[in-house]
Amino acid sequence: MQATPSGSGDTAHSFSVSFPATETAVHGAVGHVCHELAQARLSHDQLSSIRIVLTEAINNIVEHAYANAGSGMIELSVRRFTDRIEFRLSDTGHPLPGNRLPEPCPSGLTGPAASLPEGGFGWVLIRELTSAVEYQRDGDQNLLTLSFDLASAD
Amino acid sequence: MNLTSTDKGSVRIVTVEADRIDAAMAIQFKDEMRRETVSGPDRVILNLSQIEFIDSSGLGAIVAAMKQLGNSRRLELAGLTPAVEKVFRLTRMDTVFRLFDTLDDAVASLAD
Repeated sequence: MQATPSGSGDTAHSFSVSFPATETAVHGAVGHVCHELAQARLSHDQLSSIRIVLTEAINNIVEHAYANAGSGMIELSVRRFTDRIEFRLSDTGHPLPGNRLPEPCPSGLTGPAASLPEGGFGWVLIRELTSAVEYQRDGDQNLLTLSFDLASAD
Repeated sequence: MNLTSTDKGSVRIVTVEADRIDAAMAIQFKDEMRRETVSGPDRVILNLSQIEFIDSSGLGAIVAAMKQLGNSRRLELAGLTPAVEKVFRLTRMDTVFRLFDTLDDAVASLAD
Protein backbone atom coordinates (compact mmCIF):
# COMPACT_ATOMS: atom_id res chain seq x y z
CA MET A 1 0.00 0.00 0.00
CA GLN A 2 1.31 3.41 -0.93
CA ALA A 3 0.36 6.43 1.15
CA THR A 4 0.99 9.93 -0.08
CA PRO A 5 0.32 13.20 1.67
CA SER A 6 -1.25 15.73 -0.67
CA GLY A 7 0.64 18.82 -1.64
CA SER A 8 -0.24 22.13 -0.05
CA GLY A 9 -3.84 22.90 -0.67
CA ASP A 10 -6.96 24.23 0.82
CA THR A 11 -7.25 21.59 3.49
CA ALA A 12 -5.25 19.99 6.23
CA HIS A 13 -5.30 16.21 6.49
CA SER A 14 -5.55 15.54 2.78
CA PHE A 15 -3.82 12.43 1.60
CA SER A 16 -4.17 9.50 -0.71
CA VAL A 17 -3.46 5.79 -0.61
CA SER A 18 -3.30 3.18 -3.31
CA PHE A 19 -3.57 -0.54 -2.76
CA PRO A 20 -4.35 -3.76 -4.63
CA ALA A 21 -7.98 -4.69 -5.12
CA THR A 22 -8.03 -7.84 -2.99
CA GLU A 23 -10.34 -8.77 -0.12
CA THR A 24 -7.42 -9.08 2.24
CA ALA A 25 -6.09 -5.60 1.47
CA VAL A 26 -9.34 -3.84 2.33
CA HIS A 27 -9.05 -4.00 6.10
CA GLY A 28 -5.52 -2.58 6.17
CA ALA A 29 -6.23 0.22 3.72
CA VAL A 30 -9.39 1.35 5.51
CA GLY A 31 -7.59 1.01 8.84
CA HIS A 32 -4.81 3.28 7.62
CA VAL A 33 -7.28 5.96 6.50
CA CYS A 34 -9.20 5.79 9.79
CA HIS A 35 -5.94 6.01 11.72
CA GLU A 36 -4.97 9.16 9.80
CA LEU A 37 -8.41 10.69 10.33
CA ALA A 38 -8.29 9.89 14.03
CA GLN A 39 -5.51 12.49 14.22
CA ALA A 40 -8.03 14.98 12.86
CA ARG A 41 -10.15 14.65 16.00
CA LEU A 42 -13.15 12.89 14.59
CA SER A 43 -15.39 11.13 17.09
CA HIS A 44 -15.45 7.34 17.46
CA ASP A 45 -18.92 7.40 15.97
CA GLN A 46 -17.77 9.34 12.90
CA LEU A 47 -14.75 7.10 12.45
CA SER A 48 -16.86 3.96 12.65
CA SER A 49 -19.29 5.33 10.07
CA ILE A 50 -16.39 6.19 7.76
CA ARG A 51 -14.94 2.72 8.23
CA ILE A 52 -18.27 1.17 7.20
CA VAL A 53 -18.72 3.44 4.14
CA LEU A 54 -15.19 2.94 2.81
CA THR A 55 -15.27 -0.82 3.41
CA GLU A 56 -18.54 -1.19 1.53
CA ALA A 57 -17.47 0.99 -1.40
CA ILE A 58 -14.11 -0.74 -1.70
CA ASN A 59 -15.68 -4.20 -1.40
CA ASN A 60 -17.89 -3.28 -4.36
CA ILE A 61 -14.82 -2.40 -6.43
CA VAL A 62 -13.03 -5.62 -5.50
CA GLU A 63 -16.05 -7.85 -6.09
CA HIS A 64 -17.76 -6.16 -9.02
CA ALA A 65 -15.51 -3.66 -10.82
CA TYR A 66 -12.62 -6.12 -10.74
CA ALA A 67 -14.89 -9.18 -10.45
CA ASN A 68 -12.72 -10.68 -7.71
CA ALA A 69 -9.91 -11.14 -10.23
CA GLY A 70 -7.44 -10.15 -7.53
CA SER A 71 -5.50 -7.82 -9.75
CA GLY A 72 -5.94 -4.11 -10.31
CA MET A 73 -5.32 -1.16 -8.07
CA ILE A 74 -7.60 1.11 -6.14
CA GLU A 75 -6.75 4.69 -5.37
CA LEU A 76 -8.43 6.45 -2.49
CA SER A 77 -7.95 10.14 -1.93
CA VAL A 78 -9.18 11.90 1.16
CA ARG A 79 -9.85 15.62 1.28
CA ARG A 80 -10.93 17.27 4.46
CA PHE A 81 -12.94 20.47 4.40
CA THR A 82 -14.32 22.35 7.40
CA ASP A 83 -17.79 20.91 7.07
CA ARG A 84 -17.16 17.57 5.36
CA ILE A 85 -14.68 14.98 4.21
CA GLU A 86 -14.61 13.89 0.57
CA PHE A 87 -13.44 10.42 -0.31
CA ARG A 88 -12.68 9.73 -3.94
CA LEU A 89 -12.19 6.16 -5.08
CA SER A 90 -10.85 5.39 -8.51
CA ASP A 91 -10.27 2.08 -10.25
CA THR A 92 -9.90 0.76 -13.78
CA GLY A 93 -12.40 -2.08 -13.51
CA HIS A 94 -15.77 -2.62 -15.11
CA PRO A 95 -18.22 0.27 -14.95
CA LEU A 96 -21.34 0.22 -12.83
CA PRO A 97 -24.24 -1.21 -14.84
CA GLY A 98 -25.73 1.56 -16.96
CA ASN A 99 -22.75 3.74 -15.99
CA ARG A 100 -24.67 4.99 -12.99
CA LEU A 101 -25.35 4.37 -9.33
CA PRO A 102 -27.90 1.65 -8.59
CA GLU A 103 -31.44 2.73 -7.78
CA PRO A 104 -32.33 2.34 -4.12
CA CYS A 105 -34.60 -0.64 -3.77
CA PRO A 106 -36.62 -1.43 -0.67
CA SER A 107 -35.32 -4.54 1.03
CA GLY A 108 -38.01 -7.04 1.85
CA LEU A 109 -37.50 -7.85 5.49
CA THR A 110 -40.99 -9.15 6.12
CA GLY A 111 -41.94 -12.65 5.18
CA PRO A 112 -40.46 -16.02 6.02
CA ALA A 113 -36.90 -16.31 7.26
CA ALA A 114 -35.95 -18.54 4.37
CA SER A 115 -36.49 -15.68 1.94
CA LEU A 116 -34.48 -13.01 3.77
CA PRO A 117 -31.91 -11.30 1.60
CA GLU A 118 -28.26 -12.04 2.30
CA GLY A 119 -26.93 -9.28 0.10
CA GLY A 120 -27.65 -5.82 -1.18
CA PHE A 121 -27.05 -4.13 2.14
CA GLY A 122 -23.86 -2.41 1.03
CA TRP A 123 -25.48 0.45 -0.87
CA VAL A 124 -28.04 0.94 1.92
CA LEU A 125 -25.17 1.50 4.35
CA ILE A 126 -23.33 3.81 1.95
CA ARG A 127 -26.42 5.94 1.37
CA GLU A 128 -27.38 6.09 5.04
CA LEU A 129 -23.95 7.26 6.16
CA THR A 130 -22.97 9.73 3.42
CA SER A 131 -24.39 13.14 2.59
CA ALA A 132 -23.68 12.71 -1.14
CA VAL A 133 -22.55 9.97 -3.52
CA GLU A 134 -21.44 10.67 -7.08
CA TYR A 135 -20.30 8.28 -9.74
CA GLN A 136 -18.56 9.05 -13.01
CA ARG A 137 -17.18 6.85 -15.69
CA ASP A 138 -14.19 8.63 -17.26
CA GLY A 139 -12.50 6.73 -20.08
CA ASP A 140 -11.44 3.45 -18.51
CA GLN A 141 -11.76 4.73 -14.95
CA ASN A 142 -14.50 4.55 -12.37
CA LEU A 143 -14.64 7.57 -10.09
CA LEU A 144 -16.76 7.39 -6.97
CA THR A 145 -16.97 10.40 -4.68
CA LEU A 146 -18.42 9.97 -1.21
CA SER A 147 -19.11 13.00 0.97
CA PHE A 148 -19.19 12.61 4.72
CA ASP A 149 -20.82 15.49 6.51
CA LEU A 150 -18.98 16.45 9.68
CA ALA A 151 -21.82 18.35 11.29
CA SER A 152 -24.16 15.40 11.74
CA ALA A 153 -23.73 12.81 14.47
CA ASP A 154 -23.93 9.66 12.37
CA MET B 1 -11.35 -16.93 13.17
CA ASN B 2 -12.50 -19.54 15.57
CA LEU B 3 -15.98 -20.48 16.72
CA THR B 4 -16.33 -22.07 20.13
CA SER B 5 -19.58 -23.60 21.38
CA THR B 6 -20.97 -24.24 24.83
CA ASP B 7 -24.34 -25.73 25.65
CA LYS B 8 -26.14 -24.26 28.66
CA GLY B 9 -29.33 -26.15 29.27
CA SER B 10 -31.48 -25.81 26.20
CA VAL B 11 -29.31 -23.15 24.59
CA ARG B 12 -26.15 -23.38 22.50
CA ILE B 13 -23.83 -20.41 22.80
CA VAL B 14 -21.51 -19.93 19.83
CA THR B 15 -18.74 -17.41 20.45
CA VAL B 16 -16.92 -15.86 17.51
CA GLU B 17 -13.26 -15.53 18.43
CA ALA B 18 -12.27 -12.79 16.02
CA ASP B 19 -12.36 -9.01 15.92
CA ARG B 20 -14.43 -8.77 12.75
CA ILE B 21 -16.58 -10.61 10.23
CA ASP B 22 -15.98 -9.06 6.83
CA ALA B 23 -15.95 -10.01 3.14
CA ALA B 24 -12.63 -11.85 3.48
CA MET B 25 -14.04 -14.04 6.27
CA ALA B 26 -17.72 -14.38 5.43
CA ILE B 27 -17.56 -17.76 3.71
CA GLN B 28 -15.39 -19.27 6.44
CA PHE B 29 -17.84 -17.97 9.05
CA LYS B 30 -20.82 -19.54 7.26
CA ASP B 31 -19.05 -22.90 6.93
CA GLU B 32 -17.94 -22.94 10.55
CA MET B 33 -21.39 -21.93 11.78
CA ARG B 34 -22.87 -24.82 9.84
CA ARG B 35 -20.43 -27.18 11.56
CA GLU B 36 -21.17 -25.76 15.01
CA THR B 37 -24.94 -25.91 14.61
CA VAL B 38 -25.52 -28.94 12.38
CA SER B 39 -27.35 -30.45 15.33
CA GLY B 40 -28.06 -29.41 18.90
CA PRO B 41 -30.44 -27.16 20.79
CA ASP B 42 -33.17 -25.28 18.95
CA ARG B 43 -32.03 -22.00 20.44
CA VAL B 44 -28.61 -20.76 19.37
CA ILE B 45 -27.10 -17.57 20.75
CA LEU B 46 -24.33 -16.06 18.68
CA ASN B 47 -21.94 -14.23 20.99
CA LEU B 48 -20.54 -11.29 19.05
CA SER B 49 -18.93 -9.48 21.97
CA GLN B 50 -15.43 -9.76 20.49
CA ILE B 51 -16.57 -8.48 17.09
CA GLU B 52 -15.66 -4.83 16.62
CA PHE B 53 -16.72 -4.58 12.99
CA ILE B 54 -18.91 -6.26 10.40
CA ASP B 55 -19.56 -5.24 6.82
CA SER B 56 -22.55 -6.17 4.66
CA SER B 57 -20.91 -9.50 3.80
CA GLY B 58 -20.58 -10.30 7.47
CA LEU B 59 -24.21 -9.34 7.96
CA GLY B 60 -25.22 -11.57 5.06
CA ALA B 61 -23.23 -14.44 6.54
CA ILE B 62 -25.10 -14.07 9.83
CA VAL B 63 -28.41 -14.15 7.93
CA ALA B 64 -27.22 -17.26 6.10
CA ALA B 65 -26.29 -18.85 9.43
CA MET B 66 -29.82 -18.21 10.66
CA LYS B 67 -31.32 -19.76 7.54
CA GLN B 68 -29.06 -22.78 7.95
CA LEU B 69 -30.75 -23.54 11.27
CA GLY B 70 -34.06 -24.14 9.54
CA ASN B 71 -37.53 -23.14 10.55
CA SER B 72 -37.81 -24.78 13.94
CA ARG B 73 -34.58 -23.36 15.35
CA ARG B 74 -33.63 -19.77 16.03
CA LEU B 75 -30.51 -17.66 16.05
CA GLU B 76 -30.27 -14.82 18.54
CA LEU B 77 -27.43 -12.33 18.84
CA ALA B 78 -25.66 -11.09 21.96
CA GLY B 79 -23.00 -8.54 22.79
CA LEU B 80 -23.21 -6.28 19.75
CA THR B 81 -20.56 -3.58 19.91
CA PRO B 82 -21.54 -0.06 18.71
CA ALA B 83 -20.28 -0.37 15.12
CA VAL B 84 -22.00 -3.74 14.71
CA GLU B 85 -25.21 -2.42 16.24
CA LYS B 86 -25.05 0.49 13.78
CA VAL B 87 -24.94 -1.87 10.80
CA PHE B 88 -27.93 -3.85 12.09
CA ARG B 89 -29.90 -0.71 12.80
CA LEU B 90 -29.23 1.04 9.47
CA THR B 91 -30.19 -2.05 7.47
CA ARG B 92 -33.23 -2.67 9.73
CA MET B 93 -31.90 -6.13 10.45
CA ASP B 94 -32.34 -5.29 14.14
CA THR B 95 -36.03 -6.04 13.52
CA VAL B 96 -35.26 -9.49 12.19
CA PHE B 97 -33.05 -10.84 14.96
CA ARG B 98 -33.57 -10.90 18.67
CA LEU B 99 -30.67 -8.87 20.10
CA PHE B 100 -29.24 -8.84 23.63
CA ASP B 101 -26.75 -6.35 25.02
CA THR B 102 -24.81 -9.04 26.82
CA LEU B 103 -24.46 -12.79 26.76
CA ASP B 104 -25.78 -12.96 30.32
CA ASP B 105 -28.96 -11.16 29.26
CA ALA B 106 -29.40 -13.63 26.44
CA VAL B 107 -28.91 -16.71 28.57
CA ALA B 108 -31.14 -15.36 31.33
CA SER B 109 -33.95 -14.58 28.96
CA LEU B 110 -36.51 -17.29 28.33
CA ALA B 111 -37.12 -18.57 24.87
CA ASP B 112 -40.05 -16.99 23.07
